[in-house]
Amino acid sequence: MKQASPPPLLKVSDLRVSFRTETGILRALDGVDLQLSQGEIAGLVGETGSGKSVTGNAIMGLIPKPAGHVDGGEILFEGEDLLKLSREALRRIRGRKISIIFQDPFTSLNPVHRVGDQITEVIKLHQPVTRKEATSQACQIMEMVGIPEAPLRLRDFPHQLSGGMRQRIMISMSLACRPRLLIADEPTTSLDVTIQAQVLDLMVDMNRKIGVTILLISHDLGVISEICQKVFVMYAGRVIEWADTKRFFENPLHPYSQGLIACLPRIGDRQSRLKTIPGIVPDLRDTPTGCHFHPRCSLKVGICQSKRPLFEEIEPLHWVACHRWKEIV
Amino acid sequence: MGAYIFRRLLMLLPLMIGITLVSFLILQSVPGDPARIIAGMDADEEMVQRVRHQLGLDRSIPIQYLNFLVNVVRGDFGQSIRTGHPVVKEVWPRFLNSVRLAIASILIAFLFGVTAGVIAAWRHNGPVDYGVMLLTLLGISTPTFWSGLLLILIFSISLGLFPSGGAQTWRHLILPAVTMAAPSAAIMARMTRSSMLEVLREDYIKTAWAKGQTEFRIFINHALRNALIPTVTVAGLQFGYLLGGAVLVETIFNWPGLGWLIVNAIFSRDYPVVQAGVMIFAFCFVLVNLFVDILYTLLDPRVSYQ
Amino acid sequence: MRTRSFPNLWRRLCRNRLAVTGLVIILLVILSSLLAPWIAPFDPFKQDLSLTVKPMDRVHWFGTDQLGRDILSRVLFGSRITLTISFISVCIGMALGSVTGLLAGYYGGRIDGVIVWMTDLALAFPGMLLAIAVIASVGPGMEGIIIAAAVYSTPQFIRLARGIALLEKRKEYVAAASCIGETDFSILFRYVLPNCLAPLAVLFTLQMANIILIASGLSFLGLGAQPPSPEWGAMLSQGRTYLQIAPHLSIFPGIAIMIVVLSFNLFGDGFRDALDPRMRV
Repeated sequence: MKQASPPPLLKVSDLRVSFRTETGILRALDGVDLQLSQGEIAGLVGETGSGKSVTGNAIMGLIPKPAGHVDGGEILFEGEDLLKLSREALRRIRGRKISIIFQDPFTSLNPVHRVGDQITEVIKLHQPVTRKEATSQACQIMEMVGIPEAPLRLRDFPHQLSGGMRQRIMISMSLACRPRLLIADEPTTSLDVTIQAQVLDLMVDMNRKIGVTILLISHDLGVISEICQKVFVMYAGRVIEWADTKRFFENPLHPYSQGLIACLPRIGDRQSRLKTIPGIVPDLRDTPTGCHFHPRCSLKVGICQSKRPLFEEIEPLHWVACHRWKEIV
Repeated sequence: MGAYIFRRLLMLLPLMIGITLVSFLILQSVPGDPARIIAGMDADEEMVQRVRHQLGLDRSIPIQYLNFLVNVVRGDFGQSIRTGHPVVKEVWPRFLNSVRLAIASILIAFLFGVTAGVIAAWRHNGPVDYGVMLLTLLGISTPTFWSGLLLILIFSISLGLFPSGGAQTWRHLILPAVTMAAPSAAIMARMTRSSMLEVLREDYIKTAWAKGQTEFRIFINHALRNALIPTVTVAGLQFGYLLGGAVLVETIFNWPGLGWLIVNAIFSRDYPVVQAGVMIFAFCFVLVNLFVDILYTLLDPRVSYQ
Repeated sequence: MRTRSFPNLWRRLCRNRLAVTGLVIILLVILSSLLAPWIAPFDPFKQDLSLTVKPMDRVHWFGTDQLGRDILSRVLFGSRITLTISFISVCIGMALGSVTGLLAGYYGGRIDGVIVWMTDLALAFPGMLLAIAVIASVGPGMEGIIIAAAVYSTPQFIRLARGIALLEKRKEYVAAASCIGETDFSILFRYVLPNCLAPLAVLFTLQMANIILIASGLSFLGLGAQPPSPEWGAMLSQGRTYLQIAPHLSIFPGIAIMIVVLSFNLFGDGFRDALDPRMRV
């Protein structure tokens, strides 16, 4: 096993988050583990309801109270546990050290503020600069992100811009203070396919130019495989497998991951019906005991129902949480 | 922009004409012979005939209306039957008084209402929120002619802080303005609160948090700035209601406004005054609504005038 | 085609504590007004000039007015007047308004244009002013108030019904119904109307609150119920002269108005919230 490299930039351990609803307590995250090293582009993939967005929000401290509640775990960023920070300390990290961009760039931008003001806002929040300096910094990041005629665009309102342009504005806003970590929550889902490719290329470009670590959250395996070096697979509030992307796609180990990849239709395949994973995603108000996936798993045995599987490194940089990995390999 | 305003004014023309029609019909639909009513019950036939001819009531109705309309356009609202003076001379200063009262009220209502609404939204579902909701409910349910009397009782009679009648000094303005402001403030508080709650659910508020913005700035610069847009519209409507509905408050506080004049004119059968008063208030209301519409295009960059 | 289920609605309504409170108060008021002849301690019209403007005591719980009449009894009887006038006016408004609005919205065209113009015209006058203008034409009195209140109320119902008709007529089930040969009349009554019922009911409740305020306001100005009628607004107006020495003459009728209006607003609010599919979190 290789010696561990410098301490990870972000290390999430056993993160548990729940939401109070009228029909019961919803366990959105039931022990999530993640780690990212400086400069990486990692992907967090899962179905709707797996908890991937909640993970992103939890790292930023954006879980809505009073309905939402962090029940336990650790989020170590640059060695500090974000969950133990004061509100003010957390506020100073948001936008400056860690940024997040959301899925819908239209609703994520304030419709009555000019786009330039929204970018300079984050600059002025975290740096003692004058308006002129903030504006020139904004133009700088906008140009880097590939927005033409940046000084003119400053005075535009969000509704005057196209979807792709708006997402670039969001990216500018998030990178304006040169954060160390960027969380991208489904950044391409509501964009055209051609624009999707542009935005993904842009993120890779920024990772190279500024060195920002990216956590890409998506349900789309295709998008993940495009730019991510590492992938974390989530199911029902837990990470169940993580690996180097190439190794993951060549050799998915967890039964769920295997199911996911098998479901992808391939060009040239002659199928009359698309493959699915039998069963349905569990109701997070009433999660199965032990391994969350056991009700749908063809390899289930007794221990799967009673004991939660822990991570084991099967091959270098390939970890899986399954009691039966020996049978799979 | 000027062309837009002009076009909107043109579109209002049918409405304005309708207002003059309604005003005209007030006199026409009075049961009995309007000429006799105006001349007085004990006037002789000759007198009634003279009045009838003077007011042009012996012509056919469409002709009467046309005359009426032409006069209105010329600014001639006829003569007060009670005093004989031109109606405009009587109505105009009273109208200005009503406007003064309405402006003072709307300012107070806006200030208190918006603040209360923002605080209620900030402390949503808490005791403060419920308290504000209850207060607003009381505000819209309390008759102004009663709350006015209560205020007089407490502040004029018991405490002697403010005068209870007349309109000489700014002190005279306070109690009537507060009385009128209460229901409007309640409505604006509710509007602001629900508007804020909607806005706070939006994604761009989440973005503001994600940028590391402070709670205060998020509420004021991001949320309120958006939530104020529909609230300002409501404030404009309220101003119109304050103009017309002030009659009760004017009566209680002996405030020499147009509403009071209209009611008195009804009692003294001084119909030209009634017609003029009703028309002026209605015109004002319509124009205020237009102003609010235009204001909307200025406040919301997504809406452009076309 | 019903898009709202009534048992569900009822359950949500019962859960809203404020709405239930409002409803209870309304029922109490209605009950006391119905039973007024039996529960009122005195005849509301009986004058006793030896007992004028007496303060509250054990005999006269609310005191007596300037002609020696018992205020409590007058307030009780006044509720009959207030409720009757308001109920009649709002019923007229709802009947006229919803039918007109439905027809205008459904058929469109020139009829719709004229109705919209008339509605806008009525709404161009601030509420109280419109009512006063109507009174100026028809003359003061009970009938006057009812007509004025009905004129005030109708446009709101027209707007609501028309809006709903416009929405519903675009829906597919309407096209489907007319394809199978249903007459317009039948479509309107069997399909469109039921979708209006709930919002119309909410508007009815809230209009009751408004009309009570307007009607008592008109009476206060002397344009409505005339003496010796124990109408609350009129009582308040008469009590004004004695404000300094005997404020209770005006205070009690005012409290009565406030309680009744409050209860309608409470109930209307709760009703509207129960209708809103977005449940309050």
